[in-house]
Amino acid sequence: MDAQSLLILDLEKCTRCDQCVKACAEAHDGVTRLLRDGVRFDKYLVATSCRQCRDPLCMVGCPVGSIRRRNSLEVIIEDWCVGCGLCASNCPYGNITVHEFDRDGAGGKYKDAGDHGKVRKATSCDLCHDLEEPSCVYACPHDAAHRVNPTEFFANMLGQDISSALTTSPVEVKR
Amino acid sequence: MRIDSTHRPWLWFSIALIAVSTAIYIPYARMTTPAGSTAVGLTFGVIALGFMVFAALLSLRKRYRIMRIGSARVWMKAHLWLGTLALPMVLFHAAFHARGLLAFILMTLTFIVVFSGIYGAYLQHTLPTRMFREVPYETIYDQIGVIQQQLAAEARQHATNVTQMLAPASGAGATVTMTLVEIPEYGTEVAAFDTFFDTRVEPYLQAERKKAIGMDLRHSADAARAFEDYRKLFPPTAWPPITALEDICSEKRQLDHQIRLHHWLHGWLLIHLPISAALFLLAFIHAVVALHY
Repeated sequence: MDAQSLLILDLEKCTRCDQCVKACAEAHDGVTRLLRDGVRFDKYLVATSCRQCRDPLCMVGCPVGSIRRRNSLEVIIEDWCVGCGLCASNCPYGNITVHEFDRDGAGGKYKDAGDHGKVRKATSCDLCHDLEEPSCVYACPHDAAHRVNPTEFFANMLGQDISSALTTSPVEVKR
Repeated sequence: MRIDSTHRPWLWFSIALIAVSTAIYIPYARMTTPAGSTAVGLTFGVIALGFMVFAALLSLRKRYRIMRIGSARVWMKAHLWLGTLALPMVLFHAAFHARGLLAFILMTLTFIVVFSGIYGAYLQHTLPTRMFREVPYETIYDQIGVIQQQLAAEARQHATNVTQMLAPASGAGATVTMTLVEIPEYGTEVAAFDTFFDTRVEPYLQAERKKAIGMDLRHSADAARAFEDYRKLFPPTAWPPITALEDICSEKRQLDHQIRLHHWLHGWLLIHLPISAALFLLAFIHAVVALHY
């Protein structure tokens, strides 16, 4: 499942102003796709937000094939999602949630079963893929929020090159 | 925002601007009587007003978070440095004097706004680290009330465990048990523990931060002593729930500390923002009046 992109918050910079959460909600129909809570690694908080796994369990079994990759890093949940919640229960990190959205005023975005009433959709961080930088990172005034490649980031933090260590055989390491 | 090496370009820019302004101001002040109405004085005034306008725009930038008009971190840096530079520009503009009531008010407000901003920057530089180190149980600020209720419910469960564990045997079979094995009686101690929980632990867990200030469990040393006393009174089987209660009190202490730090982190804005708004308004009135008359 190796994560390819983590949303981390530097807790020595973060003033807990929640601009990241509000920006995410603003960018996604009023529903945030990140939670400013999660596991901590030293001074970094790994926020509850999609990690863009290399081998995503959430994609397994989607009945309508709406959760997928478009030949890119980000896992996208397409508009034809039926809100069954299978991907949410498959995600080992609890990074996918199912919400109800109003069809009214959505500009015809949700056409699957009519133009009015509510519709259930799964939501997960899409890295704001059509924008240069994710909204949460862009809106953080304190330079505390970053999307990082965990292998590179934590290797730099620990002062070693983890990727080369992983590809090096034990014998070579001994030498 | 943490003031680190990424601010170096802004620091150099500020030093350069102040140096250039001083180099212009000194010969100007020697040649003529400096005042805000002269060409040089007006130039400084326009620059100061420009910096103030830009600094004020940060609040708009924060309101329209996802608008792609430069990242918020760049805006924040510019706000910090240009906002601070507004003060020397105002001083050069006014020739280090406040002539008239409006000018005096403007000068005073500028000082308050800039120094409250510097104080805020200092708090935002230091307090996140304190929060990170001193509040390991930190949670989302808005959730503290809910978690406090959950802690109180959990504590009640642990207290019930202690009392049930040590209560004298009762019901069918109790007499047989008591005659076969000599079980020490903890009736008095259990009653004392119940009173301790009802009068000190539960009220502390349910109290808001300000009300909890006068309670002895707020102090970790007092709390440790109180719980240790009960551990000494009871057999080892009762220690885990007592320790769990102590941990819950410790978590409540941390949540109170988080609230306190959170108020410090954001409370200074209650001074900075309204006075900035007043300064902004009066500065515009001053500019319009000065240019018109």
